[in-house]
Amino acid sequence: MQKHPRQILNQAPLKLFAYICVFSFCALGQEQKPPMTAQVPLPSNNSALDVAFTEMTKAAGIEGFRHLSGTPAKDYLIESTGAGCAFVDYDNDGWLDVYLVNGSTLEALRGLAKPPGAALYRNNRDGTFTDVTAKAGVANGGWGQGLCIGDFDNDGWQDIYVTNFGGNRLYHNNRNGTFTDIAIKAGVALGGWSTGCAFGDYDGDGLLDLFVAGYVDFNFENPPPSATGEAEMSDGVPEQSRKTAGMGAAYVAGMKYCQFRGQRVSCGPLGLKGAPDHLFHNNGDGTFTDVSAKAGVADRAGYYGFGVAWLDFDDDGRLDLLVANDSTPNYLYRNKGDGTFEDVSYSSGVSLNENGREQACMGVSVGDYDGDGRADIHMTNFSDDANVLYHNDGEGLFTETTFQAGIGEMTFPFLGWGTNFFDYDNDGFSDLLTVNGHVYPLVDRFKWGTSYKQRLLLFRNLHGRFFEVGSSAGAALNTVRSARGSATGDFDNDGDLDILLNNLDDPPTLLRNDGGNKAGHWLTLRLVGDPGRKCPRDAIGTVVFCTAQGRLIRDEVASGRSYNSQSDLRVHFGLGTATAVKKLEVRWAGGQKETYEIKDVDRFVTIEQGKGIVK
Amino acid sequence: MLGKISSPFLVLVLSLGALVGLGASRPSLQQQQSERLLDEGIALLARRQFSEAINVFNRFKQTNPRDARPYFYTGMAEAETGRLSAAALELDEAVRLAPQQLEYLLFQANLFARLKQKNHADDVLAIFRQAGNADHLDASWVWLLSEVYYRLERFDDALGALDLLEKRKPDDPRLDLNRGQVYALQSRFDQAQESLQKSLAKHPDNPLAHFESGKLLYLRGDLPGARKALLEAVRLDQNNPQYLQKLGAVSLAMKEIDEAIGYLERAADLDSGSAEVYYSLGQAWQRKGQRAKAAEYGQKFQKLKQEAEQTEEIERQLARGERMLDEGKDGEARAVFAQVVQADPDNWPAHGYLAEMFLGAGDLQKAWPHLAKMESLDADSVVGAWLMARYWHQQKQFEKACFYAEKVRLVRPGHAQLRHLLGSAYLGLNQPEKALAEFEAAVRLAPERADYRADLQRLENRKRQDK
Repeated sequence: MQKHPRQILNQAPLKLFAYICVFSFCALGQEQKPPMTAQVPLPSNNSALDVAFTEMTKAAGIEGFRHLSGTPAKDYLIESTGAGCAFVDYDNDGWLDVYLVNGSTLEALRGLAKPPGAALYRNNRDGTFTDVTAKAGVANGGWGQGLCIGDFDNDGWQDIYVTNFGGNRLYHNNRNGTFTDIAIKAGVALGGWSTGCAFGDYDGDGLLDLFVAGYVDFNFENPPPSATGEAEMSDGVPEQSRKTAGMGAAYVAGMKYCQFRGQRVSCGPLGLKGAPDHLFHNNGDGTFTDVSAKAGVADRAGYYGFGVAWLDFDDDGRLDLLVANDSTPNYLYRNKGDGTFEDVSYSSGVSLNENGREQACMGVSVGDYDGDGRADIHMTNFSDDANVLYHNDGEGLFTETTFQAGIGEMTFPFLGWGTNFFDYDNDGFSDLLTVNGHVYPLVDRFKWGTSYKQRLLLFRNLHGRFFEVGSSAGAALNTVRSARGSATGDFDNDGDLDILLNNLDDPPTLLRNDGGNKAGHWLTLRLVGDPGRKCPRDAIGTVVFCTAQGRLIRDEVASGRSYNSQSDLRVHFGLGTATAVKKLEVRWAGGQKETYEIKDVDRFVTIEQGKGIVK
Repeated sequence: MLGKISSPFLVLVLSLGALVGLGASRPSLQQQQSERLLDEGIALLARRQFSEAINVFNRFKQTNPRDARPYFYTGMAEAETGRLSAAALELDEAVRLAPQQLEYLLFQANLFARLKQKNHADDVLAIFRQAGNADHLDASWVWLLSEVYYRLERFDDALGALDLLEKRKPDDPRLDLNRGQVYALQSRFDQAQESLQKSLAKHPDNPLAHFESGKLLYLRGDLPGARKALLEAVRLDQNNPQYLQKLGAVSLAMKEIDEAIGYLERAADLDSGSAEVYYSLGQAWQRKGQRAKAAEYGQKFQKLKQEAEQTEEIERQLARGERMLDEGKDGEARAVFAQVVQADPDNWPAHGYLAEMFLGAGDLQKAWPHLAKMESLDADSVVGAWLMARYWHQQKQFEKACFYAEKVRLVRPGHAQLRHLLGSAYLGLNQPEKALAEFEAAVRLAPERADYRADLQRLENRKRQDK
């Protein structure tokens, strides 16, 4: 009996779904020239002169950390998402320390092997670091995904929230070089697959609240098909009707394996059930209450959350919330000021790209790239798709300017993760970093115009238009990596911003900025808020407008962002040739404004709310 | 890639002359008459008189049930009328009858690719891996080969096919256009731009080349260049909604909002099913500050997107059911198809699967509503007619069984099972002569079937006894 009506008259049934690798490019080793993602780029005429990044990982003493996530085969999605990293001054000595989240393995999850563990490195103030993980008690041990920093109890010491596949950690800073995990007691442990997180005071009570994105409802006891294993290619898969250009391999219930361009790969996230997002309100007594549903940010659609950012996109003094979702529309929630949020994702223009299509957004960065004083948004994406830049037009509206701004063409073959707006050459314009790496190891076997390990992209901002500077900013930028998390900060306190990366299944990368502090004047602010004036003590959510030589520069104190990572909480302004700041307007979280004039630049300044410049 | 300068269909049909006489050595008079019939069908095909052509090919099939050609041509005609599944059925029979005929295989792969059945298409194209096979194809077929590779995202193979074409006709402007399209998808933007420029230099009046060039320039951040190219594409082809949409989107990016709205509204008039156009229109009105209008287009966009998602979900469910059938999980498959029918009452394939499963299980009562629905949705379907024939045969309503089986025989005379069923139905109607002819045909077409032989033997014995 013929089963299929469409084949019912076929006397020679079709060979069902068997895949045969028949074409010349299937063969290994035929690639003549590496794809753009792995090529050493040509020098750029647009690079900043005499500014270069130098690889310092080994010299700094952090090369001993090695990220580990499952097996090299990357059978499951969880093995490819990698982890975040942080520049954090955990011991309040004024020098940025380094925290690196680690992954895990299935054996470790089952208690059959020791988990690899996260690492905290204390800054020795001489360009080197010391591993203090054991003493600090922050090894995590879960399958780490990301982190965010915030002083949730306003005691003046930074606490660390670590997201995991499994229970999350809230490491309370004991002010003596050690931490205590209070996640369960505080009510923020969760237990599914958490990814991006960020602290922010959404209700203006001077206490940091916490938002945690959920990715996929994944269970190793009942996982989707693996990328390798027992199923044979001839076992059959259905045709994929779902549009997956610029996205990972969609899963359909019952499938024996998932495909990307006809090749068997790990499944998802499309087709898998999404995990919910959570907003935790800080009760002020060391505990939090989950207010996600009440506030209207619980992710009812079940999208796959990754990067998270609190930002005040409409400049009404209240923190709004952005969630970069993988393969599904992004969320933008406008803070209504009454403890609830309005979903303005679609109407604002940031949920979809300019063609009305959802993208596989990973990391998120917020910055004012064109100097109009408003917060613009950049998000990284899957390969075969451009990273996306949304210009803030005001009145709650964004316009996609990816291609006009010069980001589109270059980013197409790259699969982006971490991203940071930062002024690496101190010229007063926010430059843009994106770090990259594919999720499927097998891409190296094919001429798909991309590669598994990819170089990072550094775009220099020249008056609102971006130019990739490639190797002109140092040979260290040519190295291909499986980068995921990225953070920026001035770890050597020399007046220019350095880069920290967490690489999948590899040691981290620390790139020191050499010459940025000579290329332009600068000013770095440490802001101390007054909880009595409804501003969190670490001033997260505070926006600073710097006017120098007639130009306006906007920056802010932000928790989380990038790809599940944390950058320097200090606010750094590149000033170009300006030797003074005519007007420095600090819009404290909580709404108060203070204005300063800074006559001397190239220095670190501490401003305390209500007290002014104290250092 | 898909816009050729002249009609690809016409070129393919005209290039088929070489196939017509294949294997024909000094034909008999009857054969000559048959060949003339085939010629007539091909001529109708070339004139795009598809239903007439199909009728002629079906007539040819009656006297030549093992000749692959009429199935192939019928497949071409069906494909041109947009009935891709029906075309694939015909091609399947053509390939079964002439498995080495490269053009048939290629056309079959083309259909699979258009039906988004990429794995099937890949399997069929395996033959072109063998050295020199593509060389044997006429140029128009190599064009099709490159196009199929392009659809399958086998970009290097597509470029290889274009290289082969270049050896034959180096000045063809389509070569550079198609190369440009492939390079663009491979993120080889410099090469893409160079190729498109070459194409335009050779053929400046090709709107598609201007359109591709505009898209590429936009991607590269050259908005004025993109706008200029797209304006030219629209000038050359004023009623192409895709060109207008892109021009509108670029105008929007250049903050020429009124201009953008003008182009986008023209695009929406020409294609009211494009979600992308409505999204851009919503964005444009939003930027003009007309939020009510923006919301109106936003709703249209959401509605279309939702509909597309529902369609995709149904396709996924259908594929899941098919896979379960393949795995022998009939019960689960039936449940999935029932879900599909619930979500989409007009889903012909799901009704087909359910009808076939119930027929196979002998549950005629449950089969009937699905069969009736299938007929109401597509009365011309040969598959539907075949299932109806089986239904009425099992109901012992032989007149109706014959009615539907004869419809099937018209297009598939070489189907042994059908011929046997038809014979049995004629026997039920007490028409032994017709039954005998059908049983003989069934045995001739499937000599390995002992049951067919036994039925034929019984009927012959009965006839002898009657005498």
